[in-house]
Amino acid sequence: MKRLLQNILLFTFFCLVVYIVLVIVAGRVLPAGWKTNLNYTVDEPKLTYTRLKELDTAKNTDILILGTSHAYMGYDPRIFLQHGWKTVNLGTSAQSFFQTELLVKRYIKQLNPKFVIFDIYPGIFSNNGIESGLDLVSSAKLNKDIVAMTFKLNNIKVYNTLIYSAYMQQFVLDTTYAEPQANRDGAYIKGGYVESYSTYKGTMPADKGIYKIHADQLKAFENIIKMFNERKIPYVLAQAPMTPAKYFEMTNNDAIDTMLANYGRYYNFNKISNIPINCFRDEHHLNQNGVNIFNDDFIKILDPTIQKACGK
Amino acid sequence: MLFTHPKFALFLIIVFGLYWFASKRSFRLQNVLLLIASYVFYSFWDWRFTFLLLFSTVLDFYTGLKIYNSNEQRHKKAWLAVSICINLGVLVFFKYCNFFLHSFNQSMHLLGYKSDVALLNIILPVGISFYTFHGLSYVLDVYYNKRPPTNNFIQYALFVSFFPLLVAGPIERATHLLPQIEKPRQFNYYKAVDGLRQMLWGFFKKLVIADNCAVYANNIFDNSHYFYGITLVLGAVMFSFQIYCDFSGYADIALGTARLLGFDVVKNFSFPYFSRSVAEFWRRWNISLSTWFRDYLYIPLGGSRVNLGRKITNVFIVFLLSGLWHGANFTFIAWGCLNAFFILPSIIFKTNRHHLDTVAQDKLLPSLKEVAQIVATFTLVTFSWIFFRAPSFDEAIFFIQRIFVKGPVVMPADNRLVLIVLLPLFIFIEWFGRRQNYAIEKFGLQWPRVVRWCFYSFIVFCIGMYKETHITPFIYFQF
Repeated sequence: MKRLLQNILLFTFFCLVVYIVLVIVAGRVLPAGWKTNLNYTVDEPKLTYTRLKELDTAKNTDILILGTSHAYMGYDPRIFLQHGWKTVNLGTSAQSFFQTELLVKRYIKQLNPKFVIFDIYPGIFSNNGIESGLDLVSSAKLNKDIVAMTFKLNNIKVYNTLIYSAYMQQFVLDTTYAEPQANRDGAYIKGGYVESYSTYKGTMPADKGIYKIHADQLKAFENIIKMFNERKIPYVLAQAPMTPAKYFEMTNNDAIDTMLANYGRYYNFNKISNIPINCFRDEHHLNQNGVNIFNDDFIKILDPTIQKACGK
Repeated sequence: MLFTHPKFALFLIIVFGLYWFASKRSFRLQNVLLLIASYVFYSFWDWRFTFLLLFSTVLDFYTGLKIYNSNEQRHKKAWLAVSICINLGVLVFFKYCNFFLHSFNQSMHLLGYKSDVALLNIILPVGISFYTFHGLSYVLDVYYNKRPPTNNFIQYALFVSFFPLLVAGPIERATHLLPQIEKPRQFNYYKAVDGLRQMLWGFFKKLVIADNCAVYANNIFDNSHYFYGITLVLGAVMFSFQIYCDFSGYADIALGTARLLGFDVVKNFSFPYFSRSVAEFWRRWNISLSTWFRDYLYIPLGGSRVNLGRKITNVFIVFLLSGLWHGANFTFIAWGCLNAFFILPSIIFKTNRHHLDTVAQDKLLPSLKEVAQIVATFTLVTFSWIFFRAPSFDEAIFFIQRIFVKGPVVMPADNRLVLIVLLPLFIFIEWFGRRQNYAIEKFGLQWPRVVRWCFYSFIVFCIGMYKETHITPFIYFQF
């Protein structure tokens, strides 16, 4: 029995080492479709690496923008700057509240925002956080919070990506590495925004459904709100516009609006902005023309609030 | 609790620790521990059905004693009838009730009557077909004087509910498993290591091969209206590998777990896709169920000692019931009948006992004739799987018709790696291990330990890199 336990322990250690080596080799050598459970997203269109890299030097911003791709494709820093407000966008693809919480914890002190725009796509309340987890594990500087998040997500893809990312950060990526700044999704604009002029072509209508709320995501969301309140940072909850077809796929929008309004000032711009269909890049996201309209509407409504918070 | 869920690993570590350390002084204590563990394991699905399991156990334990203690043959027969009727009654109620009600409604409709008998809202207790057959085999063995009944309820209850076998077999016999439960088990290092190795291979088969093949099979079968020709053939072939690796992977994990606990359990698969005839295939596929039907149905019906007409009828009865055992659907009946048809020539020409050895027994590669035989057998078996997998009989027929329609070849999934690398690698390893109990039983045992461990680590890596990220239940859990 003793021999079995000794050998199991020894093999576990041996296997772990071989596994790590093989993950790294697979990451370096195999083409994308051949490493199914390794999703290293640096160099992919999400541009999270560039966005987070920019944060290395960012300090004392006026406005911090949080959320999913709706956030980093929906709030143009150049428009806000015209009003004198410097913005930092921490949005990432399918960013669930687990990841938002992690990012806020990591950067809130350094960025010291005077105001927060928390863009909420309600579908995130039922998201498992894997996609965004992979994005962060790939692109963010690894620390114990990222490792803790990996264990919380408990998904083999995230574990594999963590191994590979640790290797890449240690041995491959250096301070001079730069991600391509333009790709099929658009061009990166300083401040975390991704600009695009492509136009939505339309797709087949989907079945109706409802947004679901998962308790753990709601808890993370509430933790984020709590952090803003503790630090006395004024914030607004907003929902950037989607195409009407996409928006009305869900039949409990009003219930979601009511719920979110309980957590602070909340604006659903699907109900406020009137954006033509050719101002979308896809069913979820605005193109630059759409962003111009939406941001103007946003600032018109929130100008006094932001001015009060930022003192400009 | 699925074998592939991390919870099972934790469960097994706890059971293993308590079993060998805490209770090593008394095998009776070990039995109690395993019994509790088995009921805990089962209650993870639905604790309410543990009462059904207990009822089935008490019934067969009691009737077994009654059969043995009855002096008159007619009393023995009566107690046997009680056991069979109640066991099968429970099975029929939970598994086939709605099937019969639905069929009744349809038959009445065809005859021009309006029948709208409401279907019942019944949950199928997981593993019911397996533990019912466990119990029946015990009662029948007692009736046929193959073994005396046990007076120890704990031991009998453990025989029925032993957790590695509880939900998807293999279906053990009292003559084989009970004697092991009745005496102390000694820890054996080599047996435990062998168990772990078999579990590793089972996980690889299930998580890497079966679940990846399932992506293709599910996509093609679920959207068969959009596909033609070769694509549909690909779907059927993928399902063949899916069901083999899913079920035999489960069996490997079950057998490996049992070996860790010091038990030897019957082998359920013996490389069935290297069979040279359908008769050989059925000696190598789901062996415990095939032999169950052989011993408790085919032989009592007269076996091969009857005239040809009767023999053919018996074969059809066995395969039809075997099909029905799998599920309450005409597709399973069609699958059973098809296999009966396929095996029929070998019964008529008395060639069903050919190919008792392993293909290419002492050779590296098969002869051309053997290759042709293997391919032909695989084709027939795969054809029958179409009925097994299709949601309805009509869908199966439609699927087969579309195979002969020309159309573009579509690869309806992204994970082509499974087709190009993993499946051939798997077949390669299975081929070279076909003389063993499981493919990697002796694979690399002569290599230095570091090299051998590298091979095992590579299997672990394949699981980690290519397993599906969501947990997929084993196919045979539904039966």
